[in-house]
Amino acid sequence: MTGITLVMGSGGVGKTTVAAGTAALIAQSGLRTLAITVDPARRLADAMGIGQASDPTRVAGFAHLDVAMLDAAAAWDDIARRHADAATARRLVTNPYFRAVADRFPSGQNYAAGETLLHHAESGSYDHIVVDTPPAEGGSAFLAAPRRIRTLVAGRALRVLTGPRLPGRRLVYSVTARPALKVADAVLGGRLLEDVAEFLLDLSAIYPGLARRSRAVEALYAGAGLVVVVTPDPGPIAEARRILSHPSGATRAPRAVVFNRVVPHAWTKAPPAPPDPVGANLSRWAAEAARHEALRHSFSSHTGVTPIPLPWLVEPPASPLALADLMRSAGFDPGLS
Amino acid sequence: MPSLGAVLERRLCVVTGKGGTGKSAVAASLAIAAGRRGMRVLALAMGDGDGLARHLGAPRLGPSPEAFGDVHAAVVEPASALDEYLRHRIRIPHLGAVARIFAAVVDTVPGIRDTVMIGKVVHDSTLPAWDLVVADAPPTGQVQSYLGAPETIAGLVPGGAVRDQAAWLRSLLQDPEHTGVVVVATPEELPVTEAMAFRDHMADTTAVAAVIANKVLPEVGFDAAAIAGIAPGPALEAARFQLALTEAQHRHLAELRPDRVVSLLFGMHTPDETASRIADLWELP
Repeated sequence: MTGITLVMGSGGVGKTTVAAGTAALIAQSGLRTLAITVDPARRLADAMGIGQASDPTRVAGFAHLDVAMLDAAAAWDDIARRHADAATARRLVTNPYFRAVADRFPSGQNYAAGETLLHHAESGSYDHIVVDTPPAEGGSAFLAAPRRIRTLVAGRALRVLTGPRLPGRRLVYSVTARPALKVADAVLGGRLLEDVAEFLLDLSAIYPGLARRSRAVEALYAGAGLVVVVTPDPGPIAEARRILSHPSGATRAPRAVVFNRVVPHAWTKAPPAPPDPVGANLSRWAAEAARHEALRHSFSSHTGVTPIPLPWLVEPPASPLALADLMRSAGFDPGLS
Repeated sequence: MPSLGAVLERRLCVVTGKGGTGKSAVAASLAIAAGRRGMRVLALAMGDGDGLARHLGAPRLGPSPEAFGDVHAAVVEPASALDEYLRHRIRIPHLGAVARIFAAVVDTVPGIRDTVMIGKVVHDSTLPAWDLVVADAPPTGQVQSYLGAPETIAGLVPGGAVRDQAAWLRSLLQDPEHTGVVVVATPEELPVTEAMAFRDHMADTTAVAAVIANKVLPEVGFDAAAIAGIAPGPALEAARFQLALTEAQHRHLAELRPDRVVSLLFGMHTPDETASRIADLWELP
């Protein structure tokens, strides 16, 4: 069975970098590894040799490491083609509302990552998959996405528009008789309600398949290891604590919490600095180091997890090899081999 | 440099930036600066209000404005924003059944959902109760769909009250005297790239009132030559780190060309102290 690691945390904390380093470390232990990444910095994308390709690409210098970009739109097109007949799928993939679910709903993007993960897990080509989660709304929303997508597609909205009777096409002819719909129709102007209803009708065709797949995605999440990334800032710390206390996260300890962008604790232990610019500089950075240390301790005592500090670097290494070295020397052990 | 005080002379400031750049701190600082001037200011969090609450020293934010010092603040909740939109702006009768239908449409057509959220913010900015509304908006990637929502509606909805509302929103968002966007970036690769892409993309939708570079290192009175003779140890390490980071930041700042920079605050500060310090920025020349 394919092992899964989900890398989570607020936007801007370095998830993509940590995910690349984690995948590189796991691949070095001999496991066939895939990193699914979202929107990497240009330097990292160049170093890993990915363009915009959503198909797995071998990373240079590694025998067992592939990387794939998340393409939410393509993942949703696959969902439509897999679960609906050809004509319905064609209508769906060109429908502007369907495009919006794929491109602009945070749940849509989150769920697309889950589908992509499931697809590669089922392929049998990998022993381990590391997922760099999309930034929208944070990690708890990522874990909840399969359920939210079921609710969206389940047809509750459709039933509201059409009543208990399952309609055929040209739906609005049968429903505008209801006064509430007449009002809504006037407010929305003409065809919109009919367009929405027809879209929902097409969408409901994929529900049985999507329900099954989304439960399989949830099962993967339930068995996955978490790597949570934080920086020494209140927002990211609050988000990390939310992730660790999420119902589906609480059943297991995270594989690791990475405290990113920490300045050396040794700077706080220096003898009193002379009152010159160099000494003043050390005092400022020592105050910063003390703050990082205090936040790390309070995080440990609240969560019972000891975070792994990753140093604040002027430019983080871009190559997966260097990232693996950096994380190994910080004491990060994926604990899988 | 000219004063940035003019930023506060609009009715609506929308603050955005990549995650982790400190946009909630900057949003709170704008509200605090306006409050200090004696303006009646409402700070609105779009989405999770925790960041804005922390920087205003508030325990938490609710859907109705509450006073915290000189500033009123609230969070825009989708359900209450939708209710308000239907009752007061679309003015529909039979609220129960129509609201259920509308909720189904809102779930399905993101242009409408986004327009309801940004509509609440824009509508509050027209109320005589407030001189200024400051929105702590979602990160750069998502805020574009909010600011562009009225235009999306114009393309999707053929007529009726929803379309009229969207046209009204669009006129206020495009009016540079009414609305300005404040973009926050830290001097690093991704935040700068996102800020610049946003500035280019938004050029003909909403005016960018200011670009703020946050967490910029202060200048120090030494250079690489001056530290050449220092013995190995923390003082030398911290000095080298400072110089290397400053050089990288200068490179990113040269690309961003911000209107103003905010220094990194070293050591322990509560978020409301941070916001209060940044608030000086909007007054100083």
